[in-house]
Amino acid sequence: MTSSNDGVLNELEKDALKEIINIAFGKAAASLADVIGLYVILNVPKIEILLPEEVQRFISAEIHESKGLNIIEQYFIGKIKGAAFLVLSYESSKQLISLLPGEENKEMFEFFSIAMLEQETVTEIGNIIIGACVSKIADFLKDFVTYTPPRFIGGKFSHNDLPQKIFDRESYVIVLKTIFQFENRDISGFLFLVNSFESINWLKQAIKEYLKQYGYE
Amino acid sequence: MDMNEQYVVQVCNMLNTGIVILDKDFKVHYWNRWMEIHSGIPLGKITGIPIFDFFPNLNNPKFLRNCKSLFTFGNYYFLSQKLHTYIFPFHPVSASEFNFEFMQQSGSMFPLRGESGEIKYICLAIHDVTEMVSYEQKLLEMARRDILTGIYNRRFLEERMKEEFEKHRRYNRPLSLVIFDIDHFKHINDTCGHQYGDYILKSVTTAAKPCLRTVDTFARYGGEEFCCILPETHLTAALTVAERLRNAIATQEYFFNDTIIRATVSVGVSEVCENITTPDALFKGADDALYEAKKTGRNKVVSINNLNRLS
Amino acid sequence: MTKKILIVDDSIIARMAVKKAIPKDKPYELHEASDGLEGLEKFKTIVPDVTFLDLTMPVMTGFQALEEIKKIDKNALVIVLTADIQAKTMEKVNNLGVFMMIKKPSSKEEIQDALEKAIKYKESR
Repeated sequence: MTSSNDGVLNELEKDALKEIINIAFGKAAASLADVIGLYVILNVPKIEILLPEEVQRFISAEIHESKGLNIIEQYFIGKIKGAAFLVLSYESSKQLISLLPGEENKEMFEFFSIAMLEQETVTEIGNIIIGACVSKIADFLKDFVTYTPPRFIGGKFSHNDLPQKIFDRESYVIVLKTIFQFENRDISGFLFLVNSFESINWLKQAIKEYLKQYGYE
Repeated sequence: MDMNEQYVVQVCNMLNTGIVILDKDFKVHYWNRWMEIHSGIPLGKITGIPIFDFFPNLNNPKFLRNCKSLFTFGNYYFLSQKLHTYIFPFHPVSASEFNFEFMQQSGSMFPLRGESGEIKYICLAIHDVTEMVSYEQKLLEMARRDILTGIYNRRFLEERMKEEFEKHRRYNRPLSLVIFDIDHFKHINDTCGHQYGDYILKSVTTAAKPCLRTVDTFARYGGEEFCCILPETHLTAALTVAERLRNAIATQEYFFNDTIIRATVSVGVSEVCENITTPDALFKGADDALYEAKKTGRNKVVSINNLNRLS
Repeated sequence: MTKKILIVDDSIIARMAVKKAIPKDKPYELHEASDGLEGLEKFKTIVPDVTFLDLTMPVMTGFQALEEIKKIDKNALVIVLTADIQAKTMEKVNNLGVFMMIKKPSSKEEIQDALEKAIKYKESR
């Protein structure tokens, strides 16, 4: 695949996609408040079109953090297919446990290590946030997706290989990056959604319909 | 594909997996044979009844939150055995050396959609993972224990140390460390032989154990070196424990070829404080104190405070 | 009398949506800005009668821009357009003094209706 990035989506389509994602995330945030009882802000998404081998470098550069990170990785398959990475610093992760309402925390500490509780909490919230964002995007495509179990990765982002059966090495992927913040502004993290080439076609379709409403054909 | 209902129902009932379908009010819509067998509750008795009536343990914020997420977003929820141990309190199917009170389970939950794609039910799939957990526990024990004495080994000690430090950092709880070393151990081995040396090592741990609490971590650190991590403990209390240890070991009689020999230990004690803020520093403090004890006569307890006074 | 309308949103499409909704037969003068900072600058220079404001924008968010606009003119009429319709968000913008909040994606009618209400409100004062 040698065509330039712009062959995949033009400026107008990119703008429309950003707006679609923005709306999807706005709905996701509202629903999240309802589900986890916490106020979440999902910021303006950044959209990049890259080759799979460029993804790791892009994500690492966006994160800026060389210290410890907790990462939740999950794959989703529907009309849009791809991988989601939710990234939180160690500090934010620790604060997250105390923020969750109604936790039976105290006794849990007796049986489980703090590290494990943090891991579980981050994984649970990560699973829900990823589910919220992906499902709202899927809604636009009038589709629903299936998910793999979330995987917890501690340390730093060093994802070398995106799975072959979802990502074709030769084709472009769309990477969406959002910063999310919880009620307490110190708890923030990144969400990266990496969508495969097949997804791009479906997204283009949805974009086309969206643009139709405003007279762009 | 011919997957009409009668086959689907048979599959559900033959599967070695529990299947529970709940509606938005958490009432049981369907429950398969595996669930009937292990719970003793027939489908007829539980259909249309909120699951919490029979299993109040599920009525907790975490379960509710995740079910809500499923109904709202259509994502999946995975319940690991690690954190939950069980989802439904059923008896274990067969006996295991670990004597679990309940069958160890893991589960996954996913949405079920109606004709127009809206989420109507959630399905919970339960797996019996008791056997796997047994193997895991066995392996963990083997990896953590010192073969000779049966107490914890160095690997586990370092793991625990990190954990205790984390607790200290988070909640600002006191933490102390006691290190002791058998005096003239090389001499004992040389004069009485290695088998006797092993006997001494085992006897020393037996004498030491009653001096420690269940929350303390007692491990063999090196050949003849032992460590005790004492959480929630200040230096003064740790010194008392150390002295008790020293005394218990010193007063115990060790038999060899019709003669009674004595074994003693030198002990070093440290605690986390202003100058000691990392696991390495805690070890070094206790180690330095131990060294001082060896230098100044053996069979005694020295703490980091003594060191400070000397220097 | 010509009414000046300022549309602040980082999405071309979203700005287009508002522009298309505004009736052509009325004496409205339209202005646009693509981020919070530019929006604030234009507010100062153009002094619009009504401002449409998006919340999630780069450089300066809608919240910050709203705060600054209100500092300049506490009676400024701002209509917030946002996809984030959580109670807490509404509370925040209400506290800052928004005229109305419309959920995205918004229909032509919702935008027209909001604009009319805002103009009427301004004229009655």
